[in-house]
Amino acid sequence: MKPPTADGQPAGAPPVGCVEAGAAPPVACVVVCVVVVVVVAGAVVVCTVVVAVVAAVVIGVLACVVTGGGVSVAPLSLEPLEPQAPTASATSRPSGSARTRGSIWMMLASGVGGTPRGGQPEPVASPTRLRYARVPGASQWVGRSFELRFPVERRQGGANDTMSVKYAVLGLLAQRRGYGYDLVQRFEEQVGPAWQLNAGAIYVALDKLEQEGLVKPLVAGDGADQPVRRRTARGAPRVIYEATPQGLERFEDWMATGSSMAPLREELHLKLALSQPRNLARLIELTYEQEEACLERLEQHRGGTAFDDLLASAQPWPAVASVMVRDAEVAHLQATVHWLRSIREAMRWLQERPEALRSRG
Amino acid sequence: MALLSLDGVTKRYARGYREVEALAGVGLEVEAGDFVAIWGASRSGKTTLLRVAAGIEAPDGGRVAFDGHDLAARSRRTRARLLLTDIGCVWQTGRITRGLSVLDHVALPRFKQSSHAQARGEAHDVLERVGVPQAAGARWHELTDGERTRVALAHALIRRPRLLLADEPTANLNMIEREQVLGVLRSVADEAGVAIVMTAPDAPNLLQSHRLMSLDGGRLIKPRSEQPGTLIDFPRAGRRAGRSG
Repeated sequence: MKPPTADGQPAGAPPVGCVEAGAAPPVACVVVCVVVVVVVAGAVVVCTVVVAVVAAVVIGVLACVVTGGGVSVAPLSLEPLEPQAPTASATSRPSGSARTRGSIWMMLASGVGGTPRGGQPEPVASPTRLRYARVPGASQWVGRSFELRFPVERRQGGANDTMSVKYAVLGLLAQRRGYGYDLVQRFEEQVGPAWQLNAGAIYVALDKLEQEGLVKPLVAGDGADQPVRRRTARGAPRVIYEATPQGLERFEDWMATGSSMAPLREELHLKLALSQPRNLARLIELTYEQEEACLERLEQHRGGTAFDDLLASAQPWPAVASVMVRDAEVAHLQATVHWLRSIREAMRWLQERPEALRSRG
Repeated sequence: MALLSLDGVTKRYARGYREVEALAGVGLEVEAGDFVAIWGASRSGKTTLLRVAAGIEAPDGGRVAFDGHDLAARSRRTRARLLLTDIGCVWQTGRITRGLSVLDHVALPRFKQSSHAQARGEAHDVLERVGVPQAAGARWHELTDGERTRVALAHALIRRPRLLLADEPTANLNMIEREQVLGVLRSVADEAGVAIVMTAPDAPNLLQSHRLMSLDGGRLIKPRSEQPGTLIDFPRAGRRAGRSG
């Protein structure tokens, strides 16, 4: 009744079902297997890539470090600031090439150089930070271009300043012998407050002069005709110095040679140079504040002998010379106030006409 | 109480089609015996400041008080009388009572109180003190600018004012004359206790004063030591030191 088929009826139904049931698990297995293989392979590839990238980065970093700071110079040259860009890039190159391997390692070890590279997301801020952080304070070009230690230097005086104080001490000792504090007082009296002498500088100068053999100490108490007290308030003996013949000769030489001029370094000049047109209102306020400071300094000279008055009356030369020196600061302060007034006027003018700035680029 | 006090004084002028802010919130207190010097370039508002302080011009804003009384609240007549008695002024463009000799012009304020001879004697003294005894017999047109300034100063000083407002009294003077005038002003402040406000275009002139200020664009700039928040007594202490030195 039932035609025998190739499959066979009795075995047909179960085999069909068997075949269908048996066919389904292998397909699923294959799919699962493929998926698993792909996933595993993908993971392996990803891991490999990651390892490779990490390795490449590590190798690259090491290579850069070993070959001498190529990486550290690159961000330095990325100077986006307009006015300082030429000087900064020009000066960064010699410092980069001159940098030795040892100093790099020292910087890395101290953690100075390493931090900004990873930590700074801003491309503008990081080179600046790098520039300041990488180069220690002793670097010359920082001192020349940016004068980071400006307030400190002004108080203590640069190398030039200490030289002058040294010769001033020599000169004071050439006038007459004296001890440290006496010299401080005579300096203040003859040169005036404008110098803002650090009393310690006198003692440093005395030490240096003594080393060079330009002054020599007298043992306290050996010159009985000393007009000065030979003991301090606490009874400690005072060291009294006098100039040696070599010292006098050196002083004469110094007096005869031309004088160096101190650079004009004002904090306000930096703020002005680094400002933006949008800062104008604040800058104008700053000029007012600066003028207040000038007036305060001028007040120190108020009531003293006027220069004009002095010429009108006959006075001994030291008094005349001292007033002349003081007059230098008065003249300087006066000129500063005139300058402040004129830049204030210019800034007000620009504030009213912002288009004037844009047209000039 | 301060003899003269200005508080937030503003003054604007029309100049052509533009408005000029001559004074922008000036605050100033002057005690008896103070010698205040105001340093400002031309057009900085110096003369306006003095005119407002004298009550000749009313400020647009703020308050001017002389001896504790608001000048704006006083009658015109009272203000005019103050100018003849308590407030002495020296202006750059000095004028003379027409037809009088310099001596009579200077002596004029004293004619009412004392005899003419006495008044003329006083006038002689004052003229000599400010350094122009030779001007006594002269007429105004015969005087130089420097002499005119000093005659105006003598005219202001002879009434013995309590407040002296001097607008560039050292202009047109040479070095020695300038010192003489400043010396007179200083001694008048120190000895007679007259409050003085003077102006000048440059600083060396002003270092003889007790207090130094700067005026620019109608804004009075005081030294930091006089800023609020610092020691109030400082200027006086500085003045004493200045006097002894």
